[in-house]
Amino acid sequence: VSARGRVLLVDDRPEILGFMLLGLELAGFEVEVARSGEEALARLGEHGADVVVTDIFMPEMDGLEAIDRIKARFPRTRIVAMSSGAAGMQDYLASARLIGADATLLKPFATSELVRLVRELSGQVAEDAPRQPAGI
Amino acid sequence: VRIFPRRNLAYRLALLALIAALPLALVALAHRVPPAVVIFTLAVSLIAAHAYARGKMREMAALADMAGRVGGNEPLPAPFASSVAQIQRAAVEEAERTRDVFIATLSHELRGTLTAMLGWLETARARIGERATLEKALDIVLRNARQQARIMDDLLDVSRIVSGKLELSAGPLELARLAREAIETAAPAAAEKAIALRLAAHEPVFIEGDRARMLQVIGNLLGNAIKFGKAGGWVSVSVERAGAQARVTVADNGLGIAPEALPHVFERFWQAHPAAPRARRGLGLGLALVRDIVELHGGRCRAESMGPGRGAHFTLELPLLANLLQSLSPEAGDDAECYLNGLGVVALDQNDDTLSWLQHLLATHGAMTWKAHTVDEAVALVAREHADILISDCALVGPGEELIRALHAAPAQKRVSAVVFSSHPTEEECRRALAAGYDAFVAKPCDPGVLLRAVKAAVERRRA
Repeated sequence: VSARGRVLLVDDRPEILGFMLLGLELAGFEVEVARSGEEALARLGEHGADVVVTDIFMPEMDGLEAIDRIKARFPRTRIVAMSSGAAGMQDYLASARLIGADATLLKPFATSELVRLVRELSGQVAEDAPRQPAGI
Repeated sequence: VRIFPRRNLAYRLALLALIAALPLALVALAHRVPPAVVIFTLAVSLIAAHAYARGKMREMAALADMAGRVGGNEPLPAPFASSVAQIQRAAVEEAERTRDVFIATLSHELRGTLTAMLGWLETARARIGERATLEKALDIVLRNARQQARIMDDLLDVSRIVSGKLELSAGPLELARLAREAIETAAPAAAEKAIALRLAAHEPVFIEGDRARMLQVIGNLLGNAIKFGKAGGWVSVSVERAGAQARVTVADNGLGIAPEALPHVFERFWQAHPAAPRARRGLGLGLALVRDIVELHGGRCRAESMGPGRGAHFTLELPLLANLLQSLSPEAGDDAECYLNGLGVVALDQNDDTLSWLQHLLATHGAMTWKAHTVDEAVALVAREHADILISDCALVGPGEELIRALHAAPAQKRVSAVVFSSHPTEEECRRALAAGYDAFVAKPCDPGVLLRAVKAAVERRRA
């Protein structure tokens, strides 16, 4: 039986947040969403999260900066970087890994792939420091 | 800096010979010098011109050669290398950067829309029993698929234009009406940002153009203005005549354009705010297409802005349709001015609905109307009722010309005016109808005012 993990999704497209949220909720996760890097940091400050899944191309604070700041303030949180970067350009997913992303997802991806990754990473968090099941 | 030393001596001599020989030949011609001398000097100037042109071509070839060597990292003549190569390298780098940004943006847009579509289709399949989720999924998939289709259309248009394969199907086009149509299409997007759309068009303005393409042009400008508009702001479209030009202006009180960006706004792949929120970014194709299409119509466009935060004006100028309608110059759109006091009108149309509409319209403005379904019927009615004007839907080149000939065959009917009222006329039909003797050409459908003014003006012209 898997522990219920907390997931924060960050993307500036609500349409992409929407299906990810439904997919992860169906898999038993507690999910929050944020539309920007700033908002993501605020949400993490309030409730924390085991796994953050963030887009890399975002206006204002870009995804790489967000990853860097999340890693600095919430070192236990696992991070998945999503990108639609083009070949031939700078390889943003590689940069994300370098900065501290634990896994990467190239858009478009299957929801099952997202769920598998998040489950794996939240499992690692649970092993690091087993969470107390909330209430009984 | 002497880029082309010595070897171009011949070319310089040729230029001198050209400068000297041509005036000599002209002077000789003017002073009735024997033809042999004139021919000789002309021949010298021609040979000189030829040599000059060859020299020019050699110069081009040398430049191309240098450019090639820049790419191959070969050493260049010192003065040339430092200046020209630098400029070339900068240009190549800029072009590469623009191309990379474009490819990245395109990939981002396509993958983004595809991610949303695939994700929601999966969700819909997993939750097939939940009607609300299904509906939401379908809406999102539709919206994203449409956006992809738009991107593909723009890309195709650009490639057509670049390869010179964009074909226009031109015909008489009324811009005020077209602007109204574009505004109706843009209304939902404007409403989302609470942007007020205004139209200032006080007279019909005709150009010769491709309806779908010009709609695309005005639509792109409107979309752009809304995209960069302030929430709660306004976007206004005005259509007017300015001398021999039709002028369309799309203005907004939105983000504005920085002075250094102004010269680039119509460039292909250029983006206003690469770091702007997604909703404000694009592929940099919209305004480039506007410029390309307007130029294909023989027009020009320009962008003006007082600077960031102070709105922008986009102005198109297109040649007016050389059509009699242009001279009608109705001072105001007031139908009361179009009182057709007791005029006798014969209306010829295949369609009963159109005939009824015409009869009603003309009757409410004081005219007597007789309906005809065939050319013979129409000609007979004009003769019998001593009508002042014939309105005909017959734009077909053959029958339309026969009709006007038959109408004006009788001396008593020489002063009967004739107006073609036809849908989707081609430019050729329009020209030939006017040449055949029609007084005006009104494109169907049109505002009642346009037709009434055309009728009135046609009658006044014949009486004058």
